Amino acid sequence: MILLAFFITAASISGVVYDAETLNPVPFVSLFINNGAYGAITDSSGKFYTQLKAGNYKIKTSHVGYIGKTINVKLSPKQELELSIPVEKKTFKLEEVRVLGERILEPSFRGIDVKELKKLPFAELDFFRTLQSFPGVYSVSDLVGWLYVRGSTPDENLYLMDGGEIACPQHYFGAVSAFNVNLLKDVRFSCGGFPASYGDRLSAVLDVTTREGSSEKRVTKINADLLEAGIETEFPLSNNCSYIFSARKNYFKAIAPLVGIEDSTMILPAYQNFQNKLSFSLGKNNKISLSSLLMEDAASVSGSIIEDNGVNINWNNVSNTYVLNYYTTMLNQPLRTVIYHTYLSRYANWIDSTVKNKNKLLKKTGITQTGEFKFLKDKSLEWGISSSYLDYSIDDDLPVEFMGLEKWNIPIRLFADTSTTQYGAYLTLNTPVTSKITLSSGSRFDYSSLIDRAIMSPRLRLTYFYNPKTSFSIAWGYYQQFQAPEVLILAPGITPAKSNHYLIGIEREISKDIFGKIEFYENKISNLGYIFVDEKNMSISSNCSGYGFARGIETFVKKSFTNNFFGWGSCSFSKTRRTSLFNKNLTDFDADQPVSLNLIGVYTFGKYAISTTYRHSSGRPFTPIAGWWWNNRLGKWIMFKGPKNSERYPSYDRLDIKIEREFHISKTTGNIYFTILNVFQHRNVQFYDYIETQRQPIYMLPRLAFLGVDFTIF
Amino acid sequence: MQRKITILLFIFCIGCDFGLNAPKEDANGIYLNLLSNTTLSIEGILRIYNNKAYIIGDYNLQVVNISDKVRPKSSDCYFVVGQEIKDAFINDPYFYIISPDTLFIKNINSLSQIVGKLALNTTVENIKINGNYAYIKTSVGNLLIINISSPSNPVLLGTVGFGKKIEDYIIEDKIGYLLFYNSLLVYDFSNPTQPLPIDISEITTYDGTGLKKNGEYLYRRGSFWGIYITKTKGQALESIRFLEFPREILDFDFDKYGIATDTSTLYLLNAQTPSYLCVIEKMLGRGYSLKTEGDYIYYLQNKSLIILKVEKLR
Repeated sequence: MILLAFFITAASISGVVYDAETLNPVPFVSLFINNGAYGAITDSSGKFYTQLKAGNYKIKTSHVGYIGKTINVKLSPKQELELSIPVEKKTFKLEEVRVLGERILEPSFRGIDVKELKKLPFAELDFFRTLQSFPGVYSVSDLVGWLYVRGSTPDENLYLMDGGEIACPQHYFGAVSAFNVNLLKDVRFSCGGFPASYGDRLSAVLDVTTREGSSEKRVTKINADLLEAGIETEFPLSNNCSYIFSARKNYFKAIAPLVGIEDSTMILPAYQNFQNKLSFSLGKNNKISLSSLLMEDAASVSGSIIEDNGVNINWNNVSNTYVLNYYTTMLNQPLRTVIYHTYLSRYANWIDSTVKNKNKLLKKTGITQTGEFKFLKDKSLEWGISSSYLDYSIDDDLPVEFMGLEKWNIPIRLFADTSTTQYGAYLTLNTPVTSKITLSSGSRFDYSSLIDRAIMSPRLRLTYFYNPKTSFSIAWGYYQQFQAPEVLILAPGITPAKSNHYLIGIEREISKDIFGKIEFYENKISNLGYIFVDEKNMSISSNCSGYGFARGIETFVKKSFTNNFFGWGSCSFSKTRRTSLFNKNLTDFDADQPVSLNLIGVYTFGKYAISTTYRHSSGRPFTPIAGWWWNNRLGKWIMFKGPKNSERYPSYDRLDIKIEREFHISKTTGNIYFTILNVFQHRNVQFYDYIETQRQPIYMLPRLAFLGVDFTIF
Repeated sequence: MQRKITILLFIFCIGCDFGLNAPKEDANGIYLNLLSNTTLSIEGILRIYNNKAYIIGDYNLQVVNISDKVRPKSSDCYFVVGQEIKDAFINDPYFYIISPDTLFIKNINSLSQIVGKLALNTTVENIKINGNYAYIKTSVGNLLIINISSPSNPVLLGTVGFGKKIEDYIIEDKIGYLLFYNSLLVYDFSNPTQPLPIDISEITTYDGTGLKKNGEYLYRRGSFWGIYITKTKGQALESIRFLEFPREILDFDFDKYGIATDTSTLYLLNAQTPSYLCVIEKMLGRGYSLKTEGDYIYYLQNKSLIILKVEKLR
């Protein structure tokens, strides 16, 4: 009778446990119900089924390699509840994987967990901004994601996607990233001291690896908000072939009139990007993939923006990058071949009292082959060769006020149209010196046909493992970057820009889930290109007399996800002074921020998660307006600048908060989240706008709040 | 088959402020603060000395105590010399006044009493004092040299002519800078009655009057509506630059800051780097007899004494 009564009122729970990242079902996951009073286990398809009496249950998943997930459910009599339970992988960060004697710690490289990154406020729109929360990386504005790293300019950084160079990874000079963060698999970022496998850059490396499409089934995601819409889809083409595709487009111009913004009064941007990857598995240790990133942005405005001058602006920027990767082995050693082509076409034209143009065309095609040869049990020799062909042209009208040209009132044109072939090769030897000391030494050779010169850039790093949790390292690297073609055209044969990186670092595992690092660095930069006015010939010329330095101390502490919390904090003290392309005087660097503090934390409790991002930094330097002078010929007041970067904006402060909550409704799971940017509405000054002698501060982002909902429907 | 739909809704913005309502500041945070506007009984030329403003009218003098720049205290007007006043110069502790043909010397602390007097026997226009000598410009453009070492008994030493009419002049440390209609000359006045020429700077266009000196820089008005800046290297002249203005400059003065006015606007100039002289603030207004000392600016507007202070935003 009891048994009959049970079957009459029995309820059931069924469903599937799936990987939250790949969406693939996870087989053989244990389900503990009410602390083991009941249980179930998923089959090879990730599905489970169990019968229970009506009542309240707590279900907890357990599987090697996955973080346990807890769900509370309430069963009514005869209810057949279906669940879809996402589980997250436990991942190992670069900072966590350190084995004495077997692994060389790479200086200043950070492996960034994409899943952690997506939890932060604003990261889904532009992951470049989250890089700005790391020490050594400075932000100059809330509105752009440029990377100013340890005293360098963004053009001194190397951007790679799947091993191929990208000409332009951001829309509008950095306003929005062209990458879809959901298609990223791995992000490696180096602030300096990077190994010989990277070259022709002075400062930092961002190496992005995109993920492959699902090999199990088709998955489609559609995104839409007030600013942009996007679609992602991934599916298997065969047993050993998969494809993933993403498209995003904004429609701000269509929305702006609805919120009272007229087309004729401000620049309304329009952008779109497409990202895809086709992957083939050709057998054991053989894989080939073809990935691409296509992007375009445009803007146009006409009307009276300036009080007494009509203005017409047109902007169009197109960049396409294609990368072919082939992985194989040779003599049981890994071998990788990358063939890439990147293209950038930028056109800008604006008309006020004069016509100004800024046009740039870049095409680069290259091939690299890299490998690693392991020998004598604990030594390895990394090697690589590369070849590339660059086609480059630039046509810029420099402003009349540029470098005192106002007395001539002649617009100077910066023009270059050239091509060059570059070859490169590197060798890096990694070897233990003693049981506690490891050495990584290498060198890179590069040749450019434009200056018909070969350069050598050695790198050296010594690491001392004081104990399994503590290590000390010192590193030195000599970096060179060929001058921009527009500099070389004016003075052929100028030697490359140079930078010496000196690093001393201490790393320690403070506990099993807390990692800390202190790093001292000094970068000495020389031979920077400098363009100046040749008054005798009334023309412009160039040389390599620019120089500068950056030095500082950075601290970084990170806690991995345990006890419902993960986060990191960084603090840096630095000083950077350098000349610029058009100014030979040594001044405070444009992005110099002597003090910088970043605090990031994500806390989960039950179905809720709160993430916060706080950033404080010193004000950036700016060039004040010394005054105005009247130009009778133009009939207007001309701005007269004071000493470059002689004053500073007020300090920068910003706190962002994001609150998420999971929910389950019938067959639906999802998240609802609420984000507030700049919680305290701190007025961070972007720049000063001048209307004759009246100065008006223009602020960065105000306090912004938005609500989001995330649905998963089966 | 799983479908995942993400919807991001912008529901509202809390307290959006894109800087449209941001407060206006002045270039480099400098602005002119109006301290006081004192009504006067007369119009005239302005002299500032020892926290007192002397407004010298055609016949009368009014003294304003400007120790308190916000609340100046003006005195009554009184006759000074009983004749029309052409110009006046203060050289502590004496007040030198010229009527059309007479030099009067008064004690500045007791303006009712005449200390010394000298008949000039010619029509005069301006007076400058340097050391023990008064240099008085006649209506024909010559200089009368007067020994004033004994104020009660000034002595006319002689007349110096230059072949053409002096438009304006400055005598400082025995060096004279004489502005003519087509040239600027430097003279050594070690021997006041026999000045020796040192340097000459040609002026290609007629520039009118208006010559001021501040440190080693000379400023003069230009006919193309601007101010010429000349550096006195030692005793030689070096033309530095010309600062244009949208309208003709009526008056100007230089000290820590420069101040200039045209028919409708008052311009504050950055005088600390004369090679890069430029306007750092403007305000609507028109005045004459401009004077600037330190952070303060004084000028007359109709029958008012205006006092401004150059302030910096914090």
